Parts: sequence; structure tokens; C-alpha cells
Amino acid sequence: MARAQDIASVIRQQIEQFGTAVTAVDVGTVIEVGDGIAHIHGLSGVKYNELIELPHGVVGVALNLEEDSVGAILLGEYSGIKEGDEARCTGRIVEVPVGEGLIGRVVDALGQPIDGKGPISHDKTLPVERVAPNVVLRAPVNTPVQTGIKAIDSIIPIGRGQRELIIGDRSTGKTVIALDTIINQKGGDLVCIYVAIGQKTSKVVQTVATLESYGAMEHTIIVAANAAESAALQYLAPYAGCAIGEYFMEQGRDALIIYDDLSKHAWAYRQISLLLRRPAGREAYPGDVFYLHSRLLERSAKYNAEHGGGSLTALPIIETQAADISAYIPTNVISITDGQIYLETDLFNAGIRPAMNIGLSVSRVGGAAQTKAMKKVAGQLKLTLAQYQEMSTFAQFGTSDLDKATLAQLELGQWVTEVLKQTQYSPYSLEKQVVILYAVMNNYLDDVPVDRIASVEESLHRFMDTSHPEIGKAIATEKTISDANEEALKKAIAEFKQTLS
Amino acid sequence: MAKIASAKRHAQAVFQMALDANEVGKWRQDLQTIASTLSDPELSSILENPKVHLSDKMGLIAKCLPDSSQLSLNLVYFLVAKQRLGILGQIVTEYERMADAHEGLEHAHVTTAISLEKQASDKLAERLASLTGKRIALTSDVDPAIIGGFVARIGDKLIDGSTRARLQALKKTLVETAH
Repeated sequence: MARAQDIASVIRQQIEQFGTAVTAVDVGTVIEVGDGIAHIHGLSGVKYNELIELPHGVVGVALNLEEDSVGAILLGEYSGIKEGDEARCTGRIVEVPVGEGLIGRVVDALGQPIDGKGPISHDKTLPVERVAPNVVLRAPVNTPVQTGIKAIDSIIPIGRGQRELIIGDRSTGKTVIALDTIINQKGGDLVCIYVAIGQKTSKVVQTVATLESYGAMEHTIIVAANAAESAALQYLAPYAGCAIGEYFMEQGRDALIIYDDLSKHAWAYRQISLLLRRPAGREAYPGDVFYLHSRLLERSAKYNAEHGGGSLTALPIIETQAADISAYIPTNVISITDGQIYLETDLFNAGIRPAMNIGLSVSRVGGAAQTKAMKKVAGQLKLTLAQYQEMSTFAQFGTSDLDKATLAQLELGQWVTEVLKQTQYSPYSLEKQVVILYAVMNNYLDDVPVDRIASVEESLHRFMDTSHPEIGKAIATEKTISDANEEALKKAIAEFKQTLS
Repeated sequence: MAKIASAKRHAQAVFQMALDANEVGKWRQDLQTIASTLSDPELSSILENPKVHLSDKMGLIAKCLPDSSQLSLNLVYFLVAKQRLGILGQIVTEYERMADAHEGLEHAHVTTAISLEKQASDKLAERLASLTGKRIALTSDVDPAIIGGFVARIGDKLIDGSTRARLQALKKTLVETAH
């Protein structure tokens, strides 16, 4: 009833103040429309990136400002627009609603809900294009994002505020890494944003269902511009997602954003650019395709304590064609990001999942963010694996002539590789990762046959949980392995080995 | 698009010449005469015929345009020689726009629901002139669909003071509040 009263008073106010202000607006005429692009004559006062109002509630964004015409991308359904229609300047730019209310929702590139759960209450709106935080506001990366994936947390750790690229061919498990990371944040303080660009709608639905079934939608926002939507919306989606993430960062909170994937984003931008008749460069991408991604990824940052200490971590995804990481877009994004996780089809088919190529994957800043406990057990890991991968090529011709030290290295490498295998949607907590890596790196699992590693690992975790939960708890809270705890851990592992035999 | 740009450049060149010689008004008349004379289909078909020699065409043009200055004849010769006669109309339009801008004249088009009286339209022109800081050449038409008030368009600027626009704005805000 109160609501009806409210509405009545609002209407009364509207009628009383009906049509007072008359202002001059800039207008133009549509001279050409098609493929999601409109060329408009006139609009002499239009600004770059300004929203343009067209008939039937269609809006466009001015991208090309020429001497007497404007090239604009059209957002949404544009089949009602025809030559000769009037276009008006609005003086606004594209904005998206941001805030707490978006968490758990699926929205489109303009922040409108598409999950059928009703309107979204938002705190405010932010422009989708914003300038990245400057040097004064930033701090070095110092806290880890726990992905829950053993191979990543130990070898190429990701810090909050970092940009880590996930790159690989189709179906090598790129999205799975991103989803595992989201699932692992359950009950944590990270807000996750998953931006789906140009993906099949069925796949996005599947992703939402997966996240829901693991209870991960409670801290996740999904921004989707699916393959059926216009290139303009696909182009805007990552910027919209980024603005949503920035809101949390500016509140002093930590957020994680996944762009899945930026190859399709570059395609959408290439389409727009070619239709706007901008000159084409390498692989027909326009000249500013580097800036397209650099300005987006620069917006991921870690704020210093005086400015709230919030962070926005970015996990952009790039899909390569036939493992070609020296193509235009992959090299661009590799050079913008702070490291990459490189996934390979061969490794994937060999059963190594995540199919990460240790040699080509790096994290340039994440080491500073790694916990002491993880540093202690994982310090030698990358070296061990790199040596193993090199030697395993020789070992293919037979191991009979090799010396003892080499054989030991080979065996350790096999165990470590086996330990780092992990099935999808089963992230491990920090303490579990530390315990198993401690065991394998200190040769406690020497006598376990390689094919039984997985089951032994399972029983080790179960044993630790039931018999010695205090060790895991200590690692989780202290983030380091104290001397006393290490002794306890050694004893516990020895005890566990007794149960095996 | 490319054609408009080309016409613009030609018009700019002509306007510069006119400005230097301080003959902006005379050129405007000359160009109008040229445009109306050459719009004759028989004449233009001869001028565009590649079989006719250029010197013959030039003679014909000189005869058809006896009162024109040498420079304006040169313009036509040039267009004929370069086979750009097709953009003459656009050149004239562009030239007139430049001349108007130079003289501080702005064309305004006003739409009203009922026809404007002379007094009202003069007052409106005066008001628009004070708004834009330019002299206003007013044209008007009547469209009952706007219900009341007026819609004025000056160049790229639109002042929509019609009842229709206000009703639409009211509808929009009411729909938004209802959500």
C-alpha cells in the first residue's frame, strides 16, 4: 500500500513539473546503417564514446568522429533503424550498475540481468571506460590468490592484483583452471567476476550450473556477451566486467576477474573496426588492438594501504590456433600480463591435467606473494620438473646405462608429475598442498609405485584430517611451517607410512 | 561520402578565390547561373560526350554563359576537362553554406502545430538570433503531430519545445519510476 502511495506522489511531482526545461541538443541524420554500425551525418557537437539516442530506444556509441559524419556502434536490436532517422546526442557515456547486489547474478554487457531473477539493486553506476589507477595509488603484489590447483600455487603462484594469462589451444582446460579458482574462493574474501565473451550460450549456462552446484555463485558475478549478441556488446563486455570489479577494489576489497576469452574480444573489435573502415593492420586487426587489451588489463591493480588496500586480479584467457603463441594477439597479451600459464594439447592427451607446460609458464611477480609454507616445499619444484622433462627425453631410449643420481632425479620427477595431476573442480586447500608436496619432495613417497600415488595421496589427506588435524590448521593460520610443526609433520607422515605397509 | 568530400574541396578553393577578390556575393550569383544553365540535359550530354573535343566544349560554354567572369568560366572548363561536372550541384551547395557561415547567416527551420503569424515568426527569428549570435534565415512548416509548441532546427542543433516531446519525456520517466 505504501508503495502505491509512493508511486502516486512521484507521478504527481512529475505532472507538476511537467515539461519545464527546453534545451538545445545536437542532432544528426542516419545516412547508412547495417552490421551493427551506423554512419550519421551531422552531430557536430558529439564527443568520443558518447551515447547517441536513435528511434525505437536504440542507443549507439560514437567511435569515429569525421569531418561531417560520425561512425557509431549500435547496442542491441537495430533492425528498426533506417536511413534518414534522427540521431541525438545525450551527453552521457556507457555506464554499468555496480555494487553488492550484482553478486550471484548473471548480467549482460550493460549490466542488465539476464538470469530471470528480477531487477538488480545497485549502489551506483560507473563508466565502463576508466583510466587505470596511477603509480601513487598502487602497491606491489604481496598476498596470494589461492587457486587450489597444486601445480599453479606451487610453481607459478598468482598474487592479488596480478594479471596472469591462461593460454592454450581449444579444449586444453583453460576455462577449467579459471572455474577451479572461482570454486576455491568459496567461503573466502575474494569476489569473482567471470566475463564470457563470444561464447556459446549453452556453455555459459553450463558454467553457471557448475558454479551453482559447487556453491560458488554466492561470491560470483557473471557478465555474458554471447556469440549471438552484437560485436558491439562483445566489445564492451570486458570493460563492463572490469568496472564492476573496480568498484570492489575501490571499496578496499579483493576481486578476481576472468576474461574468457580475449581472442574473441579481439575478433569482435576487428569486426567493428573493419566495418567502421579503419585501416587494417597485421592479421586485419586495427592499429590500436594492443591498446585495446593493455588499457583493459592495466586496470587490474593492487591499491596501497592508504588507499584501502583493495585489489583486482585478472586472469585473461587467450585461445591459440595450432599452439601458435607467436601470433599477433597472443604475443600482445603475453607482453602485457605478468606471466602466463601455458597449456598444451600433447600434455593434456598424455593425461597430465592441468596440462601445464612448466618450461613456458611463468609468474613474474607472484613469487613475492607466495606463502612461506609453500615457498619452503616448492622451492626446488620447478628445477626438479625442468630437469626431469629434459632427462625424460633421453630416458625414452632405456634407463639401463644411467647413473644412480640421474635415475633418482628421474624417479622423483615422475612422482612430482604424478602428485601435480589434479581432476577438475576439486581444488586443494593450502595445507593439503603443503603436506603432499612436503612428503614427495622429501622422498617420503619413494617406495610408492607411480600408479598408486593418487590413491596414496587421498589416504594421506584422510589420515592427516582424522589423526593430526592440528598440523594442517597450524599451516593454514601461520602460513608457514614452524620447526615444531615440521617435526610433527615428519612424525605424522612416518606414522602414515606404517599404515600403508 | 568521397564525392561530398571532393565537392567540399572544390567549393573551398572557389570560396578562397572569391574571398581574396572580395566577390563572395558575385560568385554566388555566377555559380547559381552556371548551375541552372548546365542543368539543361542537352547541354550536359554534349559536355560529357567524350567524342566532342575539349576546345569545342569550351567554345560552347563561353557562348552559353556570356555574362560570367573569366574565373568562373575557368572553373567550368576545369570541371569539364577533369570530367567532374557531376559534382557541380554539390559544389554550389557547399559554396553557399560557406558563404552563409562567412556572412554570419544561419538557416533555421521551425515546425509548429498551427501556422505562424508574421509577427510571431519575426519574434522567433530574433530570439533564435540572440541564442546563436548569428543572423537567422527562417523557414517554417506546419505539422499538427507535434500538438503544441515548436521544434526549431538550426544547423545541427535541435530545440524541441513541442508538447509531443514533453509527453514522451513524461512517459519515459513514469515508466522508469514504475520499475
